[in-house]
Amino acid sequence: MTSSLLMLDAVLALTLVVIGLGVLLARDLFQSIVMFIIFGMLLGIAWCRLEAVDVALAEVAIGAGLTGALMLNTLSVSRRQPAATVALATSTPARSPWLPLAATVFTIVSAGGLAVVVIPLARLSSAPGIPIGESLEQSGVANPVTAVLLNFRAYDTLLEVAVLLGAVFAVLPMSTHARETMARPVGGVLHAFSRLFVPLAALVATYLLWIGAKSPGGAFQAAAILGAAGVLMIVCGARPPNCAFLRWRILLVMGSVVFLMVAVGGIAVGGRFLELPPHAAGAAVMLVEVALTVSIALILLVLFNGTSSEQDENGRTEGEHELTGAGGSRDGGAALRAKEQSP
Amino acid sequence: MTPVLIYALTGILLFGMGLAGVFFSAHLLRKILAVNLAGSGLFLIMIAMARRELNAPPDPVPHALVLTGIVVAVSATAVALVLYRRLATTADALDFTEEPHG
Repeated sequence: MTSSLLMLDAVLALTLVVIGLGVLLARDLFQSIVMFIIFGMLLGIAWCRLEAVDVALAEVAIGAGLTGALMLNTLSVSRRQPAATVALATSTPARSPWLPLAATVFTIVSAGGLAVVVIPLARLSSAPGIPIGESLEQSGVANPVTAVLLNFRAYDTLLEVAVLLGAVFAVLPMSTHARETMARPVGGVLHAFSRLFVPLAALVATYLLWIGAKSPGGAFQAAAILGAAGVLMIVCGARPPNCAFLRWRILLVMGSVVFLMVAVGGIAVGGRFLELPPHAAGAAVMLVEVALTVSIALILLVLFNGTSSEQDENGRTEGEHELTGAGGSRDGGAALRAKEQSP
Repeated sequence: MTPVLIYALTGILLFGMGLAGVFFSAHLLRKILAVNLAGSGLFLIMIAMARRELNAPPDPVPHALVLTGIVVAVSATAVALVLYRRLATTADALDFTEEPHG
């Protein structure tokens, strides 16, 4: 029993390394990105094996799913402009021949140093640190990961949402997205699938948000699934949120604002900044999580939208462009449509 | 050999691979993927470290940190991709060629 599980771990670890090599060495960038998505899925399984289900949910939805969608989106843009497929290696003149050597040494020293530190730690069976078991009751929730995220180490989460907003502020002005998108022609399969998936995703997200108080789940996982549903709707031709409008801006910052208000509220009832009184902590955490879910889902959607392309100079939309299907799910839909029409 | 050690070693290897990929990939998109790979390696190490006590539930603090890390990684990736796109559209005049395969 134990040894067969150990075999599973070993095979999984080996597969992760091989797929990781595939990401780096695949001849085609499209293959690389698909490998990266598969890598994220397998990493999710590894995290289930390490009993980190919260992290596994987030990895599969955000790390693999959304990052993959962002990459494919960008690739479909750069494919269309072959002259701009960037290889900086060719553009920097007269590089020192010592640079590759220095890079190799740096890599080996970094990874080696990490190994020297981590391997003795991994052999240590008892984890030193502050057990949170006794104080879990005061956090207002029963899921220790949620308790850490939104109560014990709420600073991290507050700043994390600020980082997300910062990314939005960086992406919005650089994306050519002030215009509203025309509905794209989409294949029947994708459309039918999205009609089933989007309501289901909303249901699952609500469930994850609620159950996050006592089991794996929570605001980030729920937001990732809502965001994915939004991405699917955009791919199917829905109009993306236009951040020029105040209502979208309010939704974008709502999570941070509610979080800050709760944090300041801690001072108002006689505690410190971000200190939640135990009797009200459950309700406060849930309030913050609901606001965070909406904001983060929208933020992820805006980030996705920022990397997608609009009409190009010829005024054609993407669906008409790439029937060869080299650039992601949107083109996959178009390819399907083409296939449906051909017989 | 324990599962913790297996995953920690995998994480170290992935980190090294990702770092090498950042230096030696020619294409910027692949460099961005490589950064993500290196990050995943570090996340794997942290989650493995949280699981060292086999008879107790895992330590939730690294879990929360990695959760935060995943979200920060995707925002950084989005910014990098938008920068890449801007570079790709404005640098048309320069003579960039298709990635030399290595």
